[in-house]
Amino acid sequence: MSTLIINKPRELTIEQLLLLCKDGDSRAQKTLYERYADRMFRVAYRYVKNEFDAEDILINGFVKVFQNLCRMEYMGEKSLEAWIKRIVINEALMHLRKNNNFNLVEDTYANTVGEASTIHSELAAEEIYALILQLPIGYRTVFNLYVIEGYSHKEIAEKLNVSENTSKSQLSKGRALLRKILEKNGIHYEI
Amino acid sequence: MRFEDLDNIIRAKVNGLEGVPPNVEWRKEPAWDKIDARLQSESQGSKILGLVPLSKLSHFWQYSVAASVAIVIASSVWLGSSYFNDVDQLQKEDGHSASGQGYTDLKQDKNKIYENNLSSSNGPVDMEKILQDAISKDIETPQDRELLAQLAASGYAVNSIGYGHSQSSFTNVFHYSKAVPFNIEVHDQIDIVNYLTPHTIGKYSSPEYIRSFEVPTLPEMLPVSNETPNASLAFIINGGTGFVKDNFAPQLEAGVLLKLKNKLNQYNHTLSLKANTQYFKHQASENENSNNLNTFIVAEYGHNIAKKKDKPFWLGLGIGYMAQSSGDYFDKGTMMLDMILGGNDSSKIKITPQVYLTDNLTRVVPGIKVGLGLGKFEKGISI
Repeated sequence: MSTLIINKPRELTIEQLLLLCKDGDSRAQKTLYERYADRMFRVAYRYVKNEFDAEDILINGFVKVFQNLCRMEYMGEKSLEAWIKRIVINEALMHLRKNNNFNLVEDTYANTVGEASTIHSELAAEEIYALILQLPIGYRTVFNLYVIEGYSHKEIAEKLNVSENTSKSQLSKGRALLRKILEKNGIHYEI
Repeated sequence: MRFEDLDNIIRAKVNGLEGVPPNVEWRKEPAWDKIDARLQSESQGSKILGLVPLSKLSHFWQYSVAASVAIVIASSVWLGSSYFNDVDQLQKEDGHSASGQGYTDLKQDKNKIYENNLSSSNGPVDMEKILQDAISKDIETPQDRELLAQLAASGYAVNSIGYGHSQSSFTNVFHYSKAVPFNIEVHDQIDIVNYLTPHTIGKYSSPEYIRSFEVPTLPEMLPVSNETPNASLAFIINGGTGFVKDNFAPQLEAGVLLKLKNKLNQYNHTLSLKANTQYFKHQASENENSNNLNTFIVAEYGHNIAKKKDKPFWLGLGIGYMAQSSGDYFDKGTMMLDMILGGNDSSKIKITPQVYLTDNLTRVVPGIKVGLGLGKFEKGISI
């Protein structure tokens, strides 16, 4: 049992905060949640493109985070964030599977971006984020896992229960579609 | 630009984004309230049950819990095997035996009675008279031993195993005895006569003592030899369906089952090792289905806790480890616990409560299995 008695969790170091969280301190848990909630919501939203589903994923993810915190070995703030992110991503994948909307063979091209981008030389981060959301769910999932999260095709194949070739082909199609979306919006960007 | 370079740019940009995406209205406070409510309810549930969630335990305590379960199971087996050692001790304390000599005398004494009665039994035996005599006599008296011999001579054995507890005298009471043909297996005995002989036999009325009394009598009266199988080995195949994680999962299991008898020729311990394969159908997409198989290697121990021989009631525990998996229904390293719970050893359909420990043993998923015995090839063995 922790012996920390501190009134303002926001002033704690991350190690102290984690110690309190492990003891089930609600205020400390809330502080940790607030620190990562927006970023993790954005991660979940990138997979499901729906704020209600993203919130469900976030809630399930953070419940798991607090339940498993005592088993996590703290190796720095970056590793903590990566650990939380991994849980949220796994929750997102579970959500997609559970709702049977995880379609890896969908070939219907997504809607194009509504307004033509004015950025020609370099896309802004938010625009890249928005373009990723335009991809169909199957391509988007593999694109997210491979390009953004940095998983290998082998790891993706295991996570999605598909073959490595399927993962590669989904990524290739995703890239091609992304290029089309960019071109349609007047952006010539070599992908 | 190479894909890798472009990927690095995109990854850095997207991962560097802060805050909620633009044009998305989302507030984190209501979500926190839901998280907090769930954490609180789980915490309260644990407090009410007096349990600590497994996920809250450190590795040390998780391994300790696992070791405790193993010790409890091992202790049960050991206690079962040492049960009759205690009976021998009771006999010694009672004066039947000092270094085993008295016990031998008792057996010799009975043999004499049996021999006398067998040699003097001419013509048909009046069973009704014998049974009437049995009602009026104490099982402990020499006369009753003679009665037992008479029954034996006429082809019957008295199998006196019933006992209960008297609230008024705080003693156990002999309820009834059964006379049965002695040339058939004990576990297949059919009641020929079931007559009440209420006897309060004081300090000798403990279940241990009553059983100890049976030890010298039953093997003599029943055709039990050293060659009689005291165990059986069976190859079993079971089918069934489980309900796990909101899904029905057909299951098939095969393995070996070892059943051990006690000295009363009654099966009271089982050990089994089985492979349990569960089938899950997973829809990866609208046009693509995948068949996922998870195989658990399960070790089970069961103990017959029934006091009546003809109505066994098995209670036990099984522990399984997921040796092979496909799909994502269970993480690698998932463990399964199941419970042996059955009133009838030979019943074909069995309902088995199950618990799966998944997500690195941090999440508990309840399940239930309805099993059906598909085949059993059993052979008695002596061990």
